[in-house]
Amino acid sequence: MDEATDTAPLVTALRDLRHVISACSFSLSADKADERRAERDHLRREIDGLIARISSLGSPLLVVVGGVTGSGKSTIVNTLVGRAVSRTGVIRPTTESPVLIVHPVDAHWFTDDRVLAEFVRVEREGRKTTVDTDDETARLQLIRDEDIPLGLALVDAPDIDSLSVRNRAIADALLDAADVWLWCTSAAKYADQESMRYLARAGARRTALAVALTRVDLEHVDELAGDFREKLAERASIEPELFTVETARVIDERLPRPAVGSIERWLRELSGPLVRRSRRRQTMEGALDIMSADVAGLIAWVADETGTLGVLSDVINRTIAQSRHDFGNALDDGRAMRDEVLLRWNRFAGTSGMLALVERAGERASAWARSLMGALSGERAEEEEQVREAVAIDVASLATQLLDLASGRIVTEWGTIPAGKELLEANPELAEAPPDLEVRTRKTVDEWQSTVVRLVETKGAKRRLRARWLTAVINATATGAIIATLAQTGGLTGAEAGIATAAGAANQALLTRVLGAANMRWLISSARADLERRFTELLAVHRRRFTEVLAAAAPSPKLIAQLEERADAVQKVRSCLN
Amino acid sequence: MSELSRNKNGQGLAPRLHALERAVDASRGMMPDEVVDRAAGVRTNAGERLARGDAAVVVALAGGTGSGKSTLFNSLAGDDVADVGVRRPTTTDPVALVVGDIEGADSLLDWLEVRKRFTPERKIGLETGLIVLDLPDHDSIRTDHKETVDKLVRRVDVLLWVLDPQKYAQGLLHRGYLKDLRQHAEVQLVALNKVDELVPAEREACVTDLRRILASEGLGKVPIYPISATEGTGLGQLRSALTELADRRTASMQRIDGDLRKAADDLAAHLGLPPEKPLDPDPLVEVVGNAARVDDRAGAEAYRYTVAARRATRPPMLRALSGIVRRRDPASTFSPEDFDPEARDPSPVAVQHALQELSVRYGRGLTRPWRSRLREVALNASEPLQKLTSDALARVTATPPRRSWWRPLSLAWGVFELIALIGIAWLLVLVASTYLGLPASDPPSVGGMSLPIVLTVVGIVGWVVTRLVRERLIAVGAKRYGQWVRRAYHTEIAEAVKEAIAPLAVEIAAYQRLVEDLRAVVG
Ligand SMILES: Nc1nc2c(ncn2[C@@H]2O[C@H](COP(=O)(O)OP(=O)(O)OP(=O)(O)O)[C@@H](O)[C@H]2O)c(=O)[nH]1
Ligand SMILES: Nc1nc2c(ncn2[C@@H]2O[C@H](COP(=O)(O)OP(=O)(O)O)[C@@H](O)[C@H]2O)c(=O)[nH]1
Ligand SMILES: [Mg+2]
Ligand SMILES: [Mg+2]
Repeated sequence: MDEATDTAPLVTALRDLRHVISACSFSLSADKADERRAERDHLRREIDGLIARISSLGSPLLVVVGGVTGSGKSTIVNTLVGRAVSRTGVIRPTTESPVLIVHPVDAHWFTDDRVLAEFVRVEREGRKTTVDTDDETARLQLIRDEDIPLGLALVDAPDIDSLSVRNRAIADALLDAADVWLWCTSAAKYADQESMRYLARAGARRTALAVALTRVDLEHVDELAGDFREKLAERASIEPELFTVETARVIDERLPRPAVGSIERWLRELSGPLVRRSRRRQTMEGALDIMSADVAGLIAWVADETGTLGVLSDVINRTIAQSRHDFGNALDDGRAMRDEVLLRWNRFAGTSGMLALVERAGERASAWARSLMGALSGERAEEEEQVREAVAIDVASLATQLLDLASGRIVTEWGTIPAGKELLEANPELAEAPPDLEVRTRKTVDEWQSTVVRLVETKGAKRRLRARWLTAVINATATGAIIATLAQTGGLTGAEAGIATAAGAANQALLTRVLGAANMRWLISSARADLERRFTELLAVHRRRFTEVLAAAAPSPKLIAQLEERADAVQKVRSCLN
Repeated sequence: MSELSRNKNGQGLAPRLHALERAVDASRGMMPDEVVDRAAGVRTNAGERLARGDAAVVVALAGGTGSGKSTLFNSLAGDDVADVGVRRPTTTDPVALVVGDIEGADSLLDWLEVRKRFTPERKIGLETGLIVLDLPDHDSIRTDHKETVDKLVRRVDVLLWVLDPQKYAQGLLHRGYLKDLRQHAEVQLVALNKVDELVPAEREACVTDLRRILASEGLGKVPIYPISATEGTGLGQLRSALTELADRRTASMQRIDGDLRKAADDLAAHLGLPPEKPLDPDPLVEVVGNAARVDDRAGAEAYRYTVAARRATRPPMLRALSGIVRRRDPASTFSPEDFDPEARDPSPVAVQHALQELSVRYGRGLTRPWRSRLREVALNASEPLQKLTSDALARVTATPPRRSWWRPLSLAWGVFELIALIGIAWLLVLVASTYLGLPASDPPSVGGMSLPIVLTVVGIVGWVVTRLVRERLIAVGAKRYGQWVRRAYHTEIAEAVKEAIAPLAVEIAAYQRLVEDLRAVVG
């Protein structure tokens, strides 16, 4: 088929567009999500319909009989076909799964899923078929009938205005795929808002359509037809072909044939190859014309979501920055560590002979120093362990508390934003502390302490002879540095700030003697910077819990550009239809 | 219903309306505005309706366009009052049929903004006191009609839904109206009009289907009257149903009763489960206590006691000696004075965190806005709590008490010391004189033992025992004192915490009040 090769670029462009449209999840639209998704699905189905028609241009014209419940759609279809192919009745709504009637010669177009792919086919010759509707997927009853003109397929659709939401969804799918609508509404319902909304939509997309005003009393035909025409022009901006179907006795689920004579003639005309082509083209061109505007609508919503995304991530960023600041403050006010730890350490540093040990470490390590070291190391190791453990507990709990507070703040602020609230409801774990939080903070603090030991090693190694440098002194100095870092207030060391002055001196003396004053200051500020950096990393992990949820829901940053680009691409290649 | 009839004038409703008013105030900002506004509207409407008395029962004919409301209205009125047309929609302004001379009817209709009024001159088979309204439609392209309907549907006493075979299952009717009128089964009627268009079997099928739909909406009790407004079929029964309503005169209150139950349900749907227990500050006291290092401080106090007690109970001789023996390095002694007063206050982060935890614990069952409110109130308490805790800590002035047994013990110890010294000195004298060959009398003996030995042994044993007893007593005393200090801090901190979290308790009480109010609204 050379038609297919000509139109290949358009099909590709439409597929691409459909693909990006599918990427609009509208997960940040909160209460507007349903409406936006419905519109997106509409558009997607329209594109599906377009692709289906373009790729099988020779397929029969799809005429969908749609409209309000009880207007007699099924009765009319039965009358046109000349037998009861679709159930009718007084129970509203009656038709639940659509019935497609096509000439046997054309039937092959509908036995596979080139057209109306989302429907499961049920083929049952003969009269009525009951299809169980418990099933989630919609079913399409396929009926072959020689009375249907060649080149046409007539679909009796479910209603759009009854209690059944499912019926409406099915009708929407059919109407979006249709080449031509035959809209049915009765004398009692022609001014219904629901019905008029559909007609206005069809008008806006220049869908080929005819309207049937049914169940009209003979004496009111002219009056009602006139009134309806006016309303169609005013409310839907359309002047469609309008059939009036007079009310008559229904026998065998059919009206007397003459009641639908004009509709029958219209169908015959439609089936002519030229008319068929022009109607199909009209609907296709109409859909393509409005597509850019529809996509622009989606783009506006995506932009709106991008705004929401900005607000939500702003909450995260502000909170995280605040937490970092709070951590710095907590370190500054010297309460990150229990005073008792400081006191204990200082007492130990002052009395354990550590100073003497340090004094002698610079000289040749005499046997005496070694033995002293040996005597001390048991006690020293134990004391250091206890001090470091106490420090780790305090700093880890400070970090954990700050992270918990940060989560609390984000959750609270998101809760005031509808889209944020929805995310929280969908991800309840965000409101809870992550299970590994305490382990992670503890690990971070432990790693920080090891880093301080390494810092002391490098500094100390430069200052002293490596060979004589004793692990015991390194460890003691590192512990001293850890304590000094946490006992700083507002940049001053504990001793300078007057905290535990009497005892602070010992630690101070130890550090100065081992490292020298300048190195000591360098060490303390490096240790402090390292601790803050590690906390920032913890925050980053914490932050990711929220940003990941947000990113999963948010439109991709490229989405708008892609939508614009692909909508343009469709317009560029659409001329191949002519 | 019996309760309603007892309170014929609606006094029974007054407390429920007050409860609703309070509930609305408490819910504002904590629930979607529409929900609160609707509840507030119920309150206003109810008040205004009650003010207009129960002499009249207002029944509105509602339904989609073309269902035959105006036709039915004319049939009931026995006159062509309302416009009936084939063009849709026909009716724009509501029309009232006022049966008999009803006190307050005009005021009622003014309130309902129904200007077209009609009072039949002849008897029409309806009870005096009935006001029937022909409403416009709710489903046509004229959206202003829907606005009129929506307002009147909220205000009238009884709704008579006029449906027809084409529209009885309309989505808009059921989802937009009937779904929300579940609590109003007693003040609703349904007329299935145009049954002349159906054969009896179809009529039966239609009524059954309609019954099924209504039952699924909780309106199974609502009676369905199959009628034909044009041919008069079934109108007799409908008239008697209306007459009975007018007779009972309780419709307006039943309507309000339904409104109140609905409002309470709606508000309750946005309310979580209330916290079960009253606010318990103990865990917070514990956390603040820890953050303020109360245990450390109690320990330090106990240590101070120990030091003081040791010092006070030294035997006189040791005391004299201590002036000579040098004390150890000051840095080596754990000294309670080392605590910097600034550092005693709990860290703000710990306090904030504890408060957040508290709000989370009490907010567990609540809906999000309340949880947020609790958190906010809790965190706002953080600064006052720090301040109050700081004051509370300062209020505890602990000085190790002097015990009455210190002096006697010290004396006893001194006595034993003395005895031992005398014994030893005596022995030394005896040994020396023996060595020097000085004449000496045998020391007196006690129970076969020589007195100096007895003195020495008694002195030394007594000295050791006293020391052991002293250590034991000091340990016990220190522990007691430490506990006392701890308790003193905790008592003070508990006071501070209670005061600081008072706003939180107020919130929780307000919430519980709201739950109770909603229960009261239901009646
Ligand atoms: N008197 C009369 N009855 C009609 C006419 N057209 C349809 N009916 C009846 O109206 C009822 C509804 O007709 P259906 O054909 O089932 O209506 P529908 O539009 O298919 O309705 P749904 O399938 O529910 O969407 C049936 O009982 C028909 O017999 C008419 O012109 N005159
Ligand atoms: N067959 C029949 N037609 C009726 C019945 N009631 C009303 N109609 C017709 O239905 C149309 C609409 O009636 P109307 O009272 O204006 O409806 P409204 O919009 O609900 O007020 C009119 O043409 C009436 O004649 C009825 O019981 N049977
Ligand atoms: Mg049908
Ligand atoms: Mg009317």
